[in-house]
Amino acid sequence: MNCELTQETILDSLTGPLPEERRISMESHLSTCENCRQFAAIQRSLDAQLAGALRPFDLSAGFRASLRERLRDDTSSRWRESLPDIAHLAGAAGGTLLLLLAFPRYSTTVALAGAAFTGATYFLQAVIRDSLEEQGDIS
Amino acid sequence: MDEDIQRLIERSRYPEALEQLLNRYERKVFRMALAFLREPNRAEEVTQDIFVKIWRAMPDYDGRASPGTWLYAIARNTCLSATRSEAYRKTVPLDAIAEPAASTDTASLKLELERLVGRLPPIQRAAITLFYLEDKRVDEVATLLQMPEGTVKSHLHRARRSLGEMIRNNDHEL
Repeated sequence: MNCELTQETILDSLTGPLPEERRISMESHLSTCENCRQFAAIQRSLDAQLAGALRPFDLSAGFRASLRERLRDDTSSRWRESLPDIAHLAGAAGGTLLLLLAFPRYSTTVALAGAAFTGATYFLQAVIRDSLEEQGDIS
Repeated sequence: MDEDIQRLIERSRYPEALEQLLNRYERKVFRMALAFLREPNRAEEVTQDIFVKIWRAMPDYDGRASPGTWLYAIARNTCLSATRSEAYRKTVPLDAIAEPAASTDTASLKLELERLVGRLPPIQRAAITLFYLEDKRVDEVATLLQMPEGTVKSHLHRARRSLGEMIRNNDHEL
């Protein structure tokens, strides 16, 4: 076993158990190579120190309460963000319904025109909103 | 194992699904955040960000990956972007690492070690930290970081070599 392979084996030994044959080859190389012995000493010491130093912290006691508060705020802000869409769709549907009641003979035409108008104004509203948001981001 | 959570999401029972996800994964997600960010307070903030993202994404969950895998993917990406923005906010000067640590006091030794680990690239830092936080289980680290076990081992080797070099070059005593 050369130095490079021995050092890889040393590192492997810190991750999990080694096959006996590999361990014996590593030990045999270590008994003759000062450089690899030093490498092994540093790595084994480092492993022990890391195991002692890297201990898990616990989440704070208020973690869940604080998360729930954030989720509540998030839900209400998303509801507020959807309000223009809801108002637009409700308005368009209401208008179409009134026209359907006023002109029952042209119900198909009114329904199609209502759907087309709703779609077109929804698209227009989305474009205007995006451009306003973009301006807001730039400024 | 995650089938019950998957069923809850599919039935749009999001609050219950979130509760189950929190019960099962909040500590692991926090450890992942801690491994990337190293500061408990910041790691807790990022853990919250991750669960807020999960909450928002639940209606779009398509069930192709298990909820755990899906959550870990979101967690890993969130931690990586948080790490990148942290790197802009503060950088540890090299001189701070180069100071010799002669003290054998446990607290300063731990601090010294944390500083050395902090010099590693984010993914190596996360791999080596999680390896010790997860009781030296490479399979757990691989699941958390969404990478093959071989890749985790390779990150561990690189991290150990770098730390060993830092110790040798700067004459740190551990």
